[in-house]
Amino acid sequence: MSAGMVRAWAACFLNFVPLLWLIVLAARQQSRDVAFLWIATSFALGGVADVLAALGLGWAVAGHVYPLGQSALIAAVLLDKPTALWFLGLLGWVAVGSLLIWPTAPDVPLHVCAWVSLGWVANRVRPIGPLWFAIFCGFGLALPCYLWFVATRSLDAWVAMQAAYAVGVGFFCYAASRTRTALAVV
Amino acid sequence: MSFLAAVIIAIVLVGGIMTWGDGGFRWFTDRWNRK
Repeated sequence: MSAGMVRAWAACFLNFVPLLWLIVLAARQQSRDVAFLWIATSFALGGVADVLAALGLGWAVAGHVYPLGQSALIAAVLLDKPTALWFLGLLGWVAVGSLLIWPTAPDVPLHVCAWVSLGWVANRVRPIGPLWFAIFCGFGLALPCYLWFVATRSLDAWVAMQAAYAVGVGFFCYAASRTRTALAVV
Repeated sequence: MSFLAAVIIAIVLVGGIMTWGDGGFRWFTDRWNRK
């Protein structure tokens, strides 16, 4: 397996770490609030998109739309459900608008809107502590790296993006280990 | 057009998770806790 393939699969695996960590905690009799499962699922969506892209058959496009799902699922934890459904619908319209305005790269405005709006949503509920850092790093910090990657398609930019994401995943695992109270919004 | 199709699939999928997922996640957590 080439070094590139190893990197790609490692990055793919990184997305599933939050879910695996919750399973490890649950196996140690430390089940967490359902909200953590939502956020871990949101991280895992990126991995599902990577796997679909690796399978070919035109599924690479999954890598362009997954931020929509990620943001909406996290919004479902941080906001109430009807608002989160509105948020999902709004991001859908952003995606359609992106396709009309920038048909060659509609994923770029979608990524920006999905992740910036998520930062805004997370900022409103900042008392969630380390989880806020997880969202801020995993999405907020990853956004400039993603734009750098889109502009240059360089390995450095890709590594920076994965590093930001890894820090976010790390903070999620830390938050899941420390937080025993219910996040409960959904 | 595949982008638009992917957006529609994502909205249906994520909307489905948001509508019924809570019950599913709670079922999973309850089952695990009872174990």
